[in-house]
Amino acid sequence: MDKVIFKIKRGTPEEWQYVEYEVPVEKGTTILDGLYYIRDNIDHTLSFRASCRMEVCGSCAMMVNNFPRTTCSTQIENVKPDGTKNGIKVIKLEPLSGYPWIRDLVVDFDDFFKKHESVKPYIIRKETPEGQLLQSPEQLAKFKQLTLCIKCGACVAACPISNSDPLYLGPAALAAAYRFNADSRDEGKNKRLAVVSDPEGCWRCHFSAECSEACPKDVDPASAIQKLKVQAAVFEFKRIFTGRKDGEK
Amino acid sequence: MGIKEAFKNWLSIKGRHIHGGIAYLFHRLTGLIILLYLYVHFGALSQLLNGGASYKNFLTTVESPPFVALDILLFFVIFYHGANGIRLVFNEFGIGTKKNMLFFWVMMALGLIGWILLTYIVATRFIGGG
Repeated sequence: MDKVIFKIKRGTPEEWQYVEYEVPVEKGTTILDGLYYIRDNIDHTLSFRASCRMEVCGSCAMMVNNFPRTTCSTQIENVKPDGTKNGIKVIKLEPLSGYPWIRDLVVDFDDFFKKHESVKPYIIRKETPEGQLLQSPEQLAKFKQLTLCIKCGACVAACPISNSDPLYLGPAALAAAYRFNADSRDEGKNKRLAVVSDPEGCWRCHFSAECSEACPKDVDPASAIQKLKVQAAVFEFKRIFTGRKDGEK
Repeated sequence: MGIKEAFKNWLSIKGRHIHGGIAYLFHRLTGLIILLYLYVHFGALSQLLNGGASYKNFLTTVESPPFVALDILLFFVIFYHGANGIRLVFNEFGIGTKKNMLFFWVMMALGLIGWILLTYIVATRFIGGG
């Protein structure tokens, strides 16, 4: 059986250090498997967040060799090592970048979800509909990819703006805003645009597109944000010419 | 987040892709260099306030090979920033975002061709004695 060394950033923001652990590896062993191995066999105090182990819950994202990944879907054999020690591959694990660090591999997601909530990520209707709201496959295709987001937060950790501007809404929230704006059943586009068309909203994105590279579900938030900018530009013109803050006719 | 940490994050490469975080960082840095050059340029033009003869002397200095070499480096910065900037303008209208890597390298190739051409022209004019 092969071995790998996990070099894990452990501790709290006040006092921390990198601690190395040897982990046995078989074909298909994921980073998360390795973390469970450490917690079950070497150090019970290791803190990390995980749940479904199948890239659905989005809990286990962390920095793997300086890049955010969901560890349940990252197989150790596919990870380029951060270095080697005595001929053994070293993988560096750190808490997600751009989030308040709590301890070990756990970060605080409160702000992430507050921002997500602020863009009204739900269907808004002017009146309660009678019966089902039907949608054609073509209408669904316009946003279907964006519904795959699992809120793992990897996009925010990869984004250079989110990492330097805590007020920026971030790729996850903005992609969610576009997802509902593109939904044919929704009637709350202007309400969302009033939130995201802001210096700390979609206009803060400068398209480094690392969010799309980091997304484990290929959601492509970077493209969604650019489409949101086009919507926001039209919205702003309407605001100027109608004089209404909500941009309605 | 303190200013020190924000600045460190501002300069750090968060992604690992040349067409992503690295291109973004270089775009920022080249933008700062161009902004700095703008002030140097204004300073150079202000030499005119000292009269035509003074300005001519100044021009003789800045047309010497070491300064021309610096100009060529500046052209590199400008061509990078310009080529990448044009890509970003298209991207921000939602054009080419799905083929971002290809788009980036095409623009870099065009920028490089432009830089080589301008370098050739400038080098033959000022260094080659043309």
